[in-house]
Amino acid sequence: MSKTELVKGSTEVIILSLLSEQVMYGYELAQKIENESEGFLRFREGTLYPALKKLETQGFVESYWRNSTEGPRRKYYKITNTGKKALSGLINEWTAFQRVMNKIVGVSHG
Amino acid sequence: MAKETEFTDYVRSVIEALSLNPEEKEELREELEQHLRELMTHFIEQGQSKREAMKLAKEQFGDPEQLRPEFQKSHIPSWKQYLSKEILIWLICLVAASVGPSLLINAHYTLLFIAGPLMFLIICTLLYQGVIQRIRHPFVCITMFLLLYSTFTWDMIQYHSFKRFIEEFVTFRLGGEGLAAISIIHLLWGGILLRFFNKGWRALARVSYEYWAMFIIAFYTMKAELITSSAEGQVLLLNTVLLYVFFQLMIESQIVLKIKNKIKH
Repeated sequence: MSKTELVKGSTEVIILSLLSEQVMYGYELAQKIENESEGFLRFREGTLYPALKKLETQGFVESYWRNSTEGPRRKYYKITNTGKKALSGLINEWTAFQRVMNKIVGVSHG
Repeated sequence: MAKETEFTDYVRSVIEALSLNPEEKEELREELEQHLRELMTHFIEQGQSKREAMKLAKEQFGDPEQLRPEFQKSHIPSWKQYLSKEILIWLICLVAASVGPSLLINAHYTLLFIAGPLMFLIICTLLYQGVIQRIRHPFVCITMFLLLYSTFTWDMIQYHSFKRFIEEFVTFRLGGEGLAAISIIHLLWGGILLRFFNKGWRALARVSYEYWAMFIIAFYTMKAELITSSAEGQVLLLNTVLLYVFFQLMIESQIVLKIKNKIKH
């Protein structure tokens, strides 16, 4: 599986996790993903917006425009309570997946 | 008309095929262009020329050919949003028209409470979607709003006297006229203004124009007895139009989908 596919499959959990820490706008979120992953999760930044829209339609995040002192107004994204619940479910799934993968990969390489 | 920037054509090629309402499309364009400009600034700060930084920003953002289907998948076409919102508003109005008269004036239920609003809702939809909403230019909206509102206020003052108008303005009561009391009409307008408060003066001008245009058309149609001459029918007409336009402006387009998702999760 390529790195791009890995990112694509885990976009939801990545975005929700970062938004659970703080409210962010699109560019800020993209930078945060790149910085937190130390450049490993590099992706086409335009794909962030369809993913955010999907999460918004599902009721996991909400957005609002806020004026900025440094320049034009920005659209901020905030995780909702439904989003927080969904995130905890996704984290459980992710942990289980990681455990299984470690076991399989560990066994096959062991 | 939005200001053209160095990324306008690029962003247009990503989102132009999306079937979104004009505001949604404009907001998306603004958001994407802003992201690209921040990327460009980042590359310029790293020592690239403006031309090279623009190229790199577009590359990092993604190929429009690949982005387009992703945007199309995630954004619900506007006709679907309009339709589901329209159905929801019709249901709210019909329920309100069925129970309102019994609750407010103890009226006996008749078929008029459904048949009347149903006919008024058809007219409302045609008028709102076909005419009122088509006018979007901010200065036209402001002019129309001022013209309509001052005509209505002047007419009311002529009819009641200024003192009575002020009294009506500050007295909140639900009686035989339902929501069509001067105070409640203004209260509903206040609610709409509050909802659009952070969207800027253009949005406030547009929603004020849409609200008052719908109400005033209904008001003078009622006065001229164009649709109905019965007192009950006239009250139903005003209340149906008021509720219809109020919910059109208060409910966001994706509400039905959001409710469905909320129930699912």
